[in-house]
Amino acid sequence: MRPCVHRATALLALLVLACPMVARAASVVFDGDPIDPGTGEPYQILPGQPLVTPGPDGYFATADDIVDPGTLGDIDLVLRLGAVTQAGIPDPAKKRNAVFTGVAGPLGIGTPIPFTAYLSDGAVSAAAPYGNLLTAPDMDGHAVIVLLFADRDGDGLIGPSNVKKGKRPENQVRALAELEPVGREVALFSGGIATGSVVVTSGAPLKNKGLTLVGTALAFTGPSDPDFLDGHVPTGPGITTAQPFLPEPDPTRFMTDPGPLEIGGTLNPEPRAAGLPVPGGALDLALPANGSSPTIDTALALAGAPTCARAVDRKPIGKHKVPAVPRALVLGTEGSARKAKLQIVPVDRFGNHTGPGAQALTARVSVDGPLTLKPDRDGDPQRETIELNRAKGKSVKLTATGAGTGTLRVTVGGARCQQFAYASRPERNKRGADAIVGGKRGDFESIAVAVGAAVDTDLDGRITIEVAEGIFRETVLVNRAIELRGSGLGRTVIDAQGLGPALTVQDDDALVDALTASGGTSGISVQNPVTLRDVEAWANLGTGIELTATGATAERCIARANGGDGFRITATATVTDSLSSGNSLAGILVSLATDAVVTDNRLLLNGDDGIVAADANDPIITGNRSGGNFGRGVGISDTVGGLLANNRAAGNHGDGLRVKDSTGMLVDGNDLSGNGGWGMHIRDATADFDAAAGVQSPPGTNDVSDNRLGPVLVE
Amino acid sequence: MSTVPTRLLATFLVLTALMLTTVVGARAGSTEPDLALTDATTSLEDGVVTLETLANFDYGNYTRLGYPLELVLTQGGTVARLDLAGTVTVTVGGGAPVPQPGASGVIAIERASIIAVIPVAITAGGTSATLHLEATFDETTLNSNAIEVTW
Repeated sequence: MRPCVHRATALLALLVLACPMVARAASVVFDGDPIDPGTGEPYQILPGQPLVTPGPDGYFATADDIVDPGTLGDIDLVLRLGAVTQAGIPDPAKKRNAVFTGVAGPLGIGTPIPFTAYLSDGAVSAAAPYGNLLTAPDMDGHAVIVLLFADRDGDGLIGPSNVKKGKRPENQVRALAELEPVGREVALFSGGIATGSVVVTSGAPLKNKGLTLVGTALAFTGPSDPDFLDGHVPTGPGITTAQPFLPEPDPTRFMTDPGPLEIGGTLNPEPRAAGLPVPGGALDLALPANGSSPTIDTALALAGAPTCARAVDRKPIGKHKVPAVPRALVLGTEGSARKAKLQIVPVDRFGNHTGPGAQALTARVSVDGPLTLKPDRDGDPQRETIELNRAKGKSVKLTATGAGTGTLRVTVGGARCQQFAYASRPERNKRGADAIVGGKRGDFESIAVAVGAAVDTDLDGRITIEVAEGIFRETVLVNRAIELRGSGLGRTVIDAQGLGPALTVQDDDALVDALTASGGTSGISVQNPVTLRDVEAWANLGTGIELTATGATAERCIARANGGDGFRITATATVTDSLSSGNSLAGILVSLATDAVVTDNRLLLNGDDGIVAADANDPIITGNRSGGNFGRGVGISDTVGGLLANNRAAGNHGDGLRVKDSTGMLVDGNDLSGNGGWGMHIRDATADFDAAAGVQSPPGTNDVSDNRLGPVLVE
Repeated sequence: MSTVPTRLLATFLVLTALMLTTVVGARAGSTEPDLALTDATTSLEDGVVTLETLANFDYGNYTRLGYPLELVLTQGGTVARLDLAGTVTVTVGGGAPVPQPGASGVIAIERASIIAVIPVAITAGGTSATLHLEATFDETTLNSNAIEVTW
């Protein structure tokens, strides 16, 4: 990137002027670029965006970021989608009237989208609106990564924005889903150009004119260094097209095993934003999908053939839109609050809303618990058969008949396509809560203010706060006997912007549920003996959910994509029936705790071990499923006593189980198969390996088959 | 996790792209691409058994590269293969695979989950089967761990 001083607008035609400093000649793409005095390398700035450097906390995309609006990035890299015939760097697809339409799915199911990436000298002019093609021999053989994003809400932008569509501002929560790429591919530069094709996994029905996609790219510069990530990645700064977020800079938050980039090779996980974009702030990163942004391009994608049906939100459904799939439903018990409408639509193999195909699908919707369905043609108010003969699908009305919980299921031909939980509760009624935060009828705009100010207006002996769907950019301390209830995971989002834990619970009688905590130094910190249910910690800088009080419990909770451990237990506390996925460190860490309980959890694709017990006494670890983690399935060290039983650790990159420097644990009935290391690795440790016989040599009752290094290593 | 080299802190785009880098077999898990079954549950409705797996089948690379990937259910001498592209074949007693044109097979593919309908040839033969994943990548056949499925 070539950032230049620019004091008026972001007109890229002016960006070639007045570069303040000159970079050393690492790559010709950086010729004339200003240098970061801290690293001696060119600054890296998104094109057309101001220079951002982390504040005292060292993290990007937090509240203390330093934004220099006088220094803007210029054009170094341009991506075009579809067929290109124009010499030099061509116009975006809409301008050259060549918008390509792909079909969701890998080869054999879908149709990939061709792409071409160009290196640009950034010398923008009327004759060369995207700069001139830069052959840059030093970039030959270097990789470019192409990412596709989908405009899921059909507002013409990728990512959260402040643009109003009609009278209403954009639903920023739904726009967050657009930040996850729906396609990614690699290609190699030759003569300043890299070509390939990228598969997309999202689409929309032909009837709805398909789904609008935006393609972006980023690339590497510089030489390789064997001491730098094993030499697989060049050491120089990166270059990029516009992106809808500030990318995550810290490799410990996402990286596992870097390797060489090659055509047809396998790639590691998707990019991660450094934090949630804040539209209206110093950076407006939402990407336009109308061809007006010079470095990126657009295409369309259709969904595939129908294989199933799902219940989705009724809005948005329509041209270029993707309806949201509810992860849970929260209703009231009286008036309009007890009612909800969902749309039953055909979906393809990847869950995309699609058309009905040659033959109409017959879907069955069924519910249990205090909920009824309409239409009710068969006299059974909890079961309805629906013919899906058009892409729009059919609507169903749900009515809660009382307080309680239950499940909604959608089946096609007996095959279960979808199942999710719902709850109906009086607090959701029009005057059922003592305070409402956000939404059209909110008493407060801030959750933290509501927690401090709410009183028991209905004199029922409780203080209940309902929080509407939305992003709440604050930190929340619950230090009173408050019931704080969100609108569902991923619908009520607290974004702490790095200012501390997103949510801290400090009262024995507090209750929190149905919300997502994000962007905090940690997600949720439970400091009193309370039970946390149905909450999520997502994309926090450190640990997802911390349990630091004896008697604290996390039940049916989710920790995903956090920069530290998913769950961290440092007291006699419990994590049960929860999911920990894609966190940078362990799925669940038990440390310096006695009698901690970890049971019936799923630990997937975490950057370190699935479960770690270190310096613990008598941990109870049972019934967990630990798979695909980049460390071990379960790691035990410096621990005395405890029970490890009936767990499955499969497909982890390290050992299924390692026990080190520990004594007295009972290891019984575990499935430790298909891992990249040993099934069971016992080092300077003693344990019982069969509950009945007291066998002290492994594997005992444990299955240690099909592990790469072998079944058991004792040393 | 390794310690962060100081210079990495300043190279945010390079580091972002590292998220997309290759995993070489010698360093990774038991297979490359990853292929592992973490759990499998079934539900029975109207005589149809739906199988929901919790799996690491390298969703991103499967969708990028489209290599053959199957759920393989084994029950005695009967083997059913459910390709993620939707085809279903059944082999009995080591004979030739017989396509099952009316079978639903795989109906949903998600990041860490595959949902499929177990073919009648398997459900009619008992109430359990052994399940594993099988992929062909770079001319090599890869198998996941196997787990028992009951309904």
